[in-house]
Amino acid sequence: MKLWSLFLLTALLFAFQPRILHAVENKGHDWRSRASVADRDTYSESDTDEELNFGREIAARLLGQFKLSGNEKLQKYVNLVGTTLTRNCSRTELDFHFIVIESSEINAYSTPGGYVFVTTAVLEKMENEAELAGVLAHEIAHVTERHIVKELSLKGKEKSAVSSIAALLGGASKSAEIAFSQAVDKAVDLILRDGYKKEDEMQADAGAVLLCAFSGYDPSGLVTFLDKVGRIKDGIGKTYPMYDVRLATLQRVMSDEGIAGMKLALNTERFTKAMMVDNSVNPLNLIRKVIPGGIQ
Amino acid sequence: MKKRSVLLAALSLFSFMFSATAFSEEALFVQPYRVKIYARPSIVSEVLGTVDSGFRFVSSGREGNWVKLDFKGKQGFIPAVQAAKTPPLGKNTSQSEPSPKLSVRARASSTTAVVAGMKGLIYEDRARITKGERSDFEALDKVDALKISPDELKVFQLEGGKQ
Repeated sequence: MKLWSLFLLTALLFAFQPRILHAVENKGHDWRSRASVADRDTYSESDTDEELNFGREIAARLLGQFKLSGNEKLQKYVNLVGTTLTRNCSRTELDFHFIVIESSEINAYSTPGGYVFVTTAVLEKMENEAELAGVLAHEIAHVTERHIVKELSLKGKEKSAVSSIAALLGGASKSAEIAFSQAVDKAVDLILRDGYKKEDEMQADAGAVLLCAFSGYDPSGLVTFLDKVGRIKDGIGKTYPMYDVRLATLQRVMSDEGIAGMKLALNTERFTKAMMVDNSVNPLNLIRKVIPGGIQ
Repeated sequence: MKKRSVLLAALSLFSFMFSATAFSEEALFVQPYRVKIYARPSIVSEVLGTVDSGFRFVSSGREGNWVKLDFKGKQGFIPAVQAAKTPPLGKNTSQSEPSPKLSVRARASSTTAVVAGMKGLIYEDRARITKGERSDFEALDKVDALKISPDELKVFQLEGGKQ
């Protein structure tokens, strides 16, 4: 009888082994396991519709606070780099928009639905297209993973977040208006002031280097950019913290995925050319690039 | 006693079979527009071929962040981030619809001033509830108007050394 019990226990362990292992793996590498689309909850087209409506409102708010760069060639260039990336991202239902805004803060933002913002200050700190691709890919990952939508659900499940937005948008009552406005306020605060959760940033970083590699961009672009920005003391956006942790994570992801040594496109020349035509970028900074320390 | 033993044996066998099948195979769909299938679970490995968005396959298991599949008689791998249990969603159209012009006359109309995507909220309401913070929908319209054509993208990618 004891032998049979042992046999039964062994068989049950076999049966549930994948689940047990999966749970252990999730605990140890939460940001990694969350990067797997195959494990996610499913969303419908109406969910996307609501997410997009919500994202448009937030994007309009951001555009009310930051001036849209009037440099159409630069806007086009950033959109071409961004679209190259989104051809390989998992959410083909979205039309992403990449927007250059005038700001002295070194930062980039994204809203649900696919509006990705980069400041003129962040562009000035970049040296090649792979760095730009890295930053855009990081923001794309925040969108594809629905980080803001999930965050706004507070303690609810992923699905309830979208449903609650749908409920807010569907109602024209005073309470619905106020609730909607509050949700937009929260999202704007999260984007501009509070920042994402650490796990979300890690997930976006991990997704970004992979997306860059899939798209033919050197995945080290995000690493070199973060390393550079981490050394700057002034003008850094408050939502870009923990450089050391992020860099270590990125190095590990790249090593694990076998892309650490990949030499893909940097497109330095094309990037420099695109920046040179940017009238909104401070011309003194362009001179500084040519004559380092020549002008203070 | 004998019956009990047979029952236990059957249960054990069932558990083992359940383990071997239910967790190893799953139907998945490719999400991005085009995805490469690799010979090994690594981006630097040989590319066996490409499949388009919506391609359905039965995964024969996982290896790290990769899903296994049979592709033209060979074992192949697709990054798990590029696959999902459901087909890719269709394009959303409301994004490309411009917001209505926010003239005084338009604001007075309850039907034409409903800004795209803001069901039930007219611009006046939205301006009021934003507590003085300005939203710039005209700038958003400019952003939405900027489109990248497939030809432009193709030229850009070829110039940048990408296929």
